[in-house]
Amino acid sequence: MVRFCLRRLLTLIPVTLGVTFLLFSLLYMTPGDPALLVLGPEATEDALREFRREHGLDQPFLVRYGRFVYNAVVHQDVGRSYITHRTVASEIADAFPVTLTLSIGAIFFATLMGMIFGIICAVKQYSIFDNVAMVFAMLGIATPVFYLGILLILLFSVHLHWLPSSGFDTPAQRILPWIALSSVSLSIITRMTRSSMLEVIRSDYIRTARAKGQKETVIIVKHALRNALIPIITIIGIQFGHLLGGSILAESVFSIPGVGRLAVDAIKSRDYPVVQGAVIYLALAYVLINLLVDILYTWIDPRLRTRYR
Amino acid sequence: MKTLLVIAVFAMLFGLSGVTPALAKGDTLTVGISLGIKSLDPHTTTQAFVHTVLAHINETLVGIEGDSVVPLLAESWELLDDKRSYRFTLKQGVKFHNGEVMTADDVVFSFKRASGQGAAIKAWSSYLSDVEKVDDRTVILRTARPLSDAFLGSLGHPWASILNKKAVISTGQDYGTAPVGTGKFRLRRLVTGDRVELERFDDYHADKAKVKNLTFRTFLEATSRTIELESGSVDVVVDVPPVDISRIKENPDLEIVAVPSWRNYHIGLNLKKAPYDNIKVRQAINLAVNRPGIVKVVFRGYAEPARGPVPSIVAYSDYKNSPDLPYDPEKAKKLLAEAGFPNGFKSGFIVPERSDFQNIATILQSNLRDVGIDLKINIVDYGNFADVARQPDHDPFVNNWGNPPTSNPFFAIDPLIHSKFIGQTNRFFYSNPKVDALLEKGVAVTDKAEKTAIYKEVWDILNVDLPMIPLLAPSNIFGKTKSLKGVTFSSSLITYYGNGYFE
Repeated sequence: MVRFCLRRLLTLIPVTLGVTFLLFSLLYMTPGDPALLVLGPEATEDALREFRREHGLDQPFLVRYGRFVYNAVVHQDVGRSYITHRTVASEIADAFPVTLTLSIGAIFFATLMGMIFGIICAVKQYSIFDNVAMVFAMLGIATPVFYLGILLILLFSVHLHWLPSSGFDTPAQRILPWIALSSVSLSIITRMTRSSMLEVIRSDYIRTARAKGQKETVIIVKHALRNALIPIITIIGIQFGHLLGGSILAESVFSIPGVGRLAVDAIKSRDYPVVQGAVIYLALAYVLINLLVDILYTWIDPRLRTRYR
Repeated sequence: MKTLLVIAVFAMLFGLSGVTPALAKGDTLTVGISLGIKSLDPHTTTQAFVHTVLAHINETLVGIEGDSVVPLLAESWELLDDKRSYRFTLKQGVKFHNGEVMTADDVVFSFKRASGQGAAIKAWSSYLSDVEKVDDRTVILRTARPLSDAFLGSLGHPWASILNKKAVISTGQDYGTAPVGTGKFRLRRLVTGDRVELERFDDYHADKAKVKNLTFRTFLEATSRTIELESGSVDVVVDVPPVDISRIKENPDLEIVAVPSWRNYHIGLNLKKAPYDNIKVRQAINLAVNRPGIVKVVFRGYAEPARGPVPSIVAYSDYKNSPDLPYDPEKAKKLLAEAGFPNGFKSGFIVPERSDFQNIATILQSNLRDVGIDLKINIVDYGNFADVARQPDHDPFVNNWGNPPTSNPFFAIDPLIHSKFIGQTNRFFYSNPKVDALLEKGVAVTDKAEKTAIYKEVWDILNVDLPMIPLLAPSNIFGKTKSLKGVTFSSSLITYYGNGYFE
């Protein structure tokens, strides 16, 4: 198990290198001059040249990439923002907890409700509840986050005055973003739970359990759900990764200062160090979550545990 | 397991930054702005909203009230005989937020920093050639050449903030998160990109602020700002989109304040590139543009159609009473035929990615199609626009010029058309020695009548030469609760809210 984790952690190295290289190439090819954006259009050629020299932007691509990797590895330094002059690490340290809280809240809500709905749908297949839930699940997958977000704001903030429409400081401010961000995952988890449960419910050992007179709730929770969990966990893990990376839409609609917005603002102003930092963090988070999901498998499914030993 | 879940939920709800205590209405003035504030260092950015927030934390030697310059941190000043040295006598007993008393050293330090290495505001600070401390309360600022009221006025803009030397040195690169000024408010909390919370500074050297707290919150989406205003969680919002104006007007608690601005929307032509090197083509375009149409459709009437090269509010211009520029497609066609394009021509058209520019471009496209000019719109990311418009072979573009520190023509028109700015902000490659000479003379002269006459000559030349086709100047549109009083909304992008109170 430890060896398995170590091996997975080691894959972080090529992943990070790959992501940063790709990102460097993309930023390199993106038109727009950071010097001109920071110093403004009035800046003289001399001032621009001075800025580019100071930040190494006049160097060839490979030198810039090499320096970046060297500084990151040897000095654990991914640079300072061109605009705020703060270290990228502290910029991200401010924004990451926000995105994490947003994503964790959303995935928690999606998992809880998704599994409950999914189980009910599977147990009462083709009932009215099942049909209605499936229609909503379809709508949930099809509705973009920003659109749902605006609808929620219109209803709960503008008309009913129940909840604030933006920010992420107070509990009340967190409810709408969580709902908006979780809708797609909620729908997917509901559908996954339903289909996975339907498969299991028809197995012989469920029939055996029923035949021996076991209570229905115990059958559903202990026998069926535990066996249906693996695909559900997988989808939850994938969804969580998506939420972390894709929270930018919710962050924009609800004016939440998370990593996604940090990255988008930085891209707009060509603040390269911040873009690099934000993307690396999101990539690392994605990989780590996948690792966590793999570890969860072995905890849930004893068969896998023996295989890794 | 259950308890764990409950704890997890509560941790998430309350975890991040604790609960903000509820504040009584009337104590806090909240302003909704459209840009995320990341740093509060006046020297590292030219963004107007950063300077807006800073105007409440920092102060400058002089203040601007309407068209006049008034004492602030300087008690008095005079222009010395060489016409380029301004001697300021500092107000005594002014305290910084950290308790330090302002001295001439702080003033010298601030201006040196503003024009030193790494400063992003050099477009404004570079006119300063020297700062000299005479004694503890006297400072002389020198410009390289005589700039009369243009330079003095620009000292009222937050780029010229007086910072506390000790605080800047001790915080170093992180100064942007811990600004120390002399203003009516000091920083309580900066949540990067989300909000800036200020609180009243009780040792302020003049009348203290009436509200206890002043908060700037960022809402990138214009619709979100309107909604926040309607739901009452902010008291003022900036940049109300024209489509939301009627909604705010219908609300009995809210009102719209529209102030004419000096943001100069124009079509920029590249005088180095055919056919725009032909003056008849430029005149034809000038006649083919339906300005009232754009004002009505894109700005719902909240804009002033251009009557000359600069908005009427720019100092030393007198376009308020001028007639509208003619709209005459037939004459435009005739001019095009005379220029050798009886069937018109095709051209690219650069449009920065922003909804107002895109909407204007669509109308311009149809206006110019009427006279035979076929524009192909090429939308450019805003971050890339300055770069594209610098290239010597660029296509015509639509843009605005709107963030000078004052409405003085020295900042409102020089950068656009003086030949020394070619390759920077003179994107038309316009070079007219006569205009250059007039501009240089105009800024140096101190007599108001003489000054007006010189600039009049500049406007007349530009009306004929047409390096840029002036379009309009929109109003700055604010939405506010009716109970908020005391705020004078500005024509520039920087409005001072420090005198606001509720009634």
